[in-house]
Amino acid sequence: MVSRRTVLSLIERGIDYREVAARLGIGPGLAYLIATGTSVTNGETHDRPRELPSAGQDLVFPSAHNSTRRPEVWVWAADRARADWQMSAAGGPAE
Amino acid sequence: MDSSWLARWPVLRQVTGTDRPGKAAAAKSRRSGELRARTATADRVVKSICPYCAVGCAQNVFVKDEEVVQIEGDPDSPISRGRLCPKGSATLQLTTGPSRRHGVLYRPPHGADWQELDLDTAMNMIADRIVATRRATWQEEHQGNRVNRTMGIASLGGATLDNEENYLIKKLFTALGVVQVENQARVCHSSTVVGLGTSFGRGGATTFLQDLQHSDCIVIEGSNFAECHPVGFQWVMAAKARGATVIHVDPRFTRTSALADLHVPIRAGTDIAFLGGIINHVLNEDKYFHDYVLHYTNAATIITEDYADTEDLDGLFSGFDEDSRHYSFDYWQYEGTVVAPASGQRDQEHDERVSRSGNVHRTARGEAHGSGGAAVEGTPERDETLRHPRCVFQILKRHYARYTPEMVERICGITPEVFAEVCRHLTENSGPDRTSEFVYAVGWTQHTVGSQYIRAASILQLLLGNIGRPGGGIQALRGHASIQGSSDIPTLFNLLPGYIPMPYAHSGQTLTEFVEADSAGKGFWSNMDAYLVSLLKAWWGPAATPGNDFCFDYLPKITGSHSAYDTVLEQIAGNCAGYFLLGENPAVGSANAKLQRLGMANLDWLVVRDFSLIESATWWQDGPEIQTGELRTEDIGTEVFFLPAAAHTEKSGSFTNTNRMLQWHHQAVQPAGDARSDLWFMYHLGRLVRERLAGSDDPHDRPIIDLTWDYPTEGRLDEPVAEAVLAEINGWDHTGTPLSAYTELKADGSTSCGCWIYCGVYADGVNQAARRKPAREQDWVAAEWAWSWPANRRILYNRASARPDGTPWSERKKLVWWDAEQGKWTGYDVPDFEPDKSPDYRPSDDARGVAALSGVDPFIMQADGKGWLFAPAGVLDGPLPTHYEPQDSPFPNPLYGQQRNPSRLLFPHEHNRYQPSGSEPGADVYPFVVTTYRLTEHFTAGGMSRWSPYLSELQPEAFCEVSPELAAERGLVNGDWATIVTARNAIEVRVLVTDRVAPLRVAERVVHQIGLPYHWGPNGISTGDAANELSSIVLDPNAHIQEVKAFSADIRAGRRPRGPDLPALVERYRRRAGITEHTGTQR
Repeated sequence: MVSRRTVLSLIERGIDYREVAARLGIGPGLAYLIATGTSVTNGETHDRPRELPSAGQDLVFPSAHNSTRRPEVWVWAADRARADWQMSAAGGPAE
Repeated sequence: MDSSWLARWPVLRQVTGTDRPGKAAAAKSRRSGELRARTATADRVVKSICPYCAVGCAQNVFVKDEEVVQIEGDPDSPISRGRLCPKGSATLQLTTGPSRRHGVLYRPPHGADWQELDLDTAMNMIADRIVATRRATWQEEHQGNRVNRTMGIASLGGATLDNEENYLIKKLFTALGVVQVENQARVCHSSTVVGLGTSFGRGGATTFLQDLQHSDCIVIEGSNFAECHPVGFQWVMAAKARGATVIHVDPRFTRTSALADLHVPIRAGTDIAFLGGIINHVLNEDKYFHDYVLHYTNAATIITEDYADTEDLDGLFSGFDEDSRHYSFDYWQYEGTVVAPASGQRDQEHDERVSRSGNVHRTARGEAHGSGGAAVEGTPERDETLRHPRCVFQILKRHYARYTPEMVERICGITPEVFAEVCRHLTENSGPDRTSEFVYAVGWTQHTVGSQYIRAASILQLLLGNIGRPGGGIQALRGHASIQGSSDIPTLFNLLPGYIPMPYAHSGQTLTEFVEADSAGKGFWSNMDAYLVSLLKAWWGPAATPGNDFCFDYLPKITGSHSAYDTVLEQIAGNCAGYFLLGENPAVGSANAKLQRLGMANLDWLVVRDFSLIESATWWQDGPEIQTGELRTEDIGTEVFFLPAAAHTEKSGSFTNTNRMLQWHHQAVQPAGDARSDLWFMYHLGRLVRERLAGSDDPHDRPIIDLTWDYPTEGRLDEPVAEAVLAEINGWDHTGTPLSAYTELKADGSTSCGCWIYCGVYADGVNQAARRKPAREQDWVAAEWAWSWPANRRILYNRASARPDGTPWSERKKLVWWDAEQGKWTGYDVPDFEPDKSPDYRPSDDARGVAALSGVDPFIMQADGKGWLFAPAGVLDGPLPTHYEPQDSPFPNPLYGQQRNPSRLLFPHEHNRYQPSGSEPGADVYPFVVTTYRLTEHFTAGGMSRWSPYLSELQPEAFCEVSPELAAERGLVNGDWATIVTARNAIEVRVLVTDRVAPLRVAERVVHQIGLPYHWGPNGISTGDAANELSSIVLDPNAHIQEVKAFSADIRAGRRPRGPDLPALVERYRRRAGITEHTGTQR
């Protein structure tokens, strides 16, 4: 059974949760839970007695997909704008 | 490892191993030790948003082997913080459950059963029918005015569709000339847009859920917040933990009441009397926030001497026309100015003209104030002392003078003691250092005076100085994932995107005339020409030029009301032949369900897109009228197409939550079988129609041929790229560079923007709606989570959080303030004000546009910059909220001779009879008050919940709630059946006898109320009669929303009759009550 003291001692040496978990043979989410007393998946923020590094869901879940950019969309938009002679004329020469 | 039973004994492992406390390894068997969570073994996590209510809880969708295996709450969300309610938790079953259909079904005319059909054939058949019906029903003119439209096709959508889907629906149908385009927002929150929009300038909630935690007093009224928006309710609890007082005003004691400090039972349909009573108290006791009221509202504005109040005219305002039952705004004007609604004075005249012809109703133009107030020409006269007898403040005092605690008790059934307690909490928690918030839902909106309910709360919050400030505001709890979005990008007959009004038919109307009539000369709405031209460029691209008014003439014209309820009557009359139901189930969810079905039975063709075979798809086969013999399947000529829809996990797009926040959900997996997104359906339907019209030289087809419809597609299904549609909505400049704000829009055709209020959602080429910076890494505003319109502001009108001089009202309630050193507004939220406009700025007399607003005008979408206590225009049934009884009420109106809202919209029909009210003979046949409501475990008309085994097990059967006293009076037994009867129909439900619906003493007698959840219909796993069999079509004149939150009925023990005996029972009741076609239709 890994103790909180053991986890904290490693964290305080600047080792991240993933590495701590690997060294102790436990899951990184469990290492975070032992260190902080709260789950990675707990959305509420808590005032902790000592400042501990926060953690993301990637400690316990597979990689997440959340793209915010699709450059090809703006290529399409530029084509649409370019094909609009009135719009181009009204906007003046492209810089 | 030793496999003997002794070694597997946990106690031995505990006492002999290292885990002596038994917290870990000792308590775990080998089998449980080998188990892995689906969340851990998934291949990937896809970020999503819950598709049920409009709280907008974030979800993690876990995918393994290209299948969704688990859905959980996303803890990074600042709104939901990882939580999901029972419905949200059941979304795995919604999306992967066995009840979902994946094949197309076809019912030929007069057919007895479904046939299978392949998707391509179905799409081509539907496209053929659109083209043919459009041709056959094309109207070039209506009463001498050019309209360029078809009344032969209509569409009704759900409000859990993505913004991008709604955008294509509106764009394609408008180009086809279809004006009867509607969605769930009509029947849900349309009155919110009118009430909030006319009061403040925008029709959305003024605040956001997380800000509830800063409130000192929360009044929840017209909402069962804890059960209907459970995850959002955590912020009420956060406020309570900080010491806030929570008040719940509701006919029923619910879980919301249980968690409140004070529950106030009220007779359904009387909230204006209650709120008016509080307004009277605030004014009489000088509890209003003087400086806020004086500077930020129109309290000091002088009203024309033509104005006469309901106190003078026994329940009518001046300007009422008995024949048309319409008011003229001329009698409510600001002294020395002309105030016109967004529809323009010209439209009002037009309305009057067409209404005299008797075949159209006045339209819901108040919704055009969703993001822009009425035009004010001239400078209103003011009395800064607030003593002028015709100033708004004094008029308000007189109007509510008789709304005394005793009157509140007589009307609402609330004792003066309890009423005084509410007043005390509210007033003690309002002022410079404290704020109170009102929260409501459809308990307020769905009345014949629904818009005025919202207006009453708006007036009260303005008087108390609670708008635009942290912990204050009015929270409109919307009940569908994107019902705000379906108003913003409106699949609504009377609006274009961004609350630009649909043009009316007027001879010789041009773009310039339209803009001059419909935009305001002052405030941000004065830039409407730039918003409209940019929209026309988005839709018709290079075809839209200054020489042809940017294709303004391509827009079909409306000539009155073409709302969802008008459409039903058009169907029955044989004028509407084709109908699209896109995620909507009116056979259960709309008022007078029978009339909905009778309308559909008179169609040529019907397209239903949904997850399962909802009642609106199967009424011809097994609907209630088939059971009673009123319809015969073989007689019904309607051709029905059922097309399976994709779930939110199977498509990308954005939902706009209840607080104007656009949140993006990503596609996790491809939909199976023939299931498709509505984005796919609309895009490919448009493609097929355009193919058919490609060679046409008919000028009527130009709007379709010239339509920009070149969206990129992806994947094996050719799914349109949703981000491309969002990009078009956001807009770009002449180089195709994304725009960052609506202030960049131009009226010269150099910018394109599909919805001006959403401009900025794709700023810098970043899908801002998809931003997911974890809440714990941000402050409480969490500005980097998704994106809210307008301009990513979270609290609207936040200039009012500072004093006129720009300093905060108090340190405790500071939000936005003027930084004199930097010469700009700053704070925790994006200032809802021109960033560098000094508090000292005063416009010149001839100033126009935004420059006409002074440095102390926080309501920047209003032409006078003020919050409107008195609405001189825009609200069709009066400048001030007034108590009227519901259409069907057991009580007379004790305040006025005027019983009901004189401007309400009636739909007399043999299947839509109204009941006697008050002291009229026969009223006692329907002696009880019914109020309908929603449950945690079901969703609106049931299409997304009654097919779910999880949710159906939790709420398996239709029921009603009655008090022990009513049960004793009518012989009702808990768990047995009861039959509820109105003049429309009768239904049977299980009886739940409970103290939660206590009898009230009203007008010196006891009234019993019946609580009735409305989710059920005969299909699905959890079944029952629909509550809307009982309701009538009678509407708020502003928003055309139906009255289903309060109507009178009878209740009796036992099951309802079967077959023809059912309509016979209803008819016997009608005869007893003496009901005729005239009953309840008097002014």
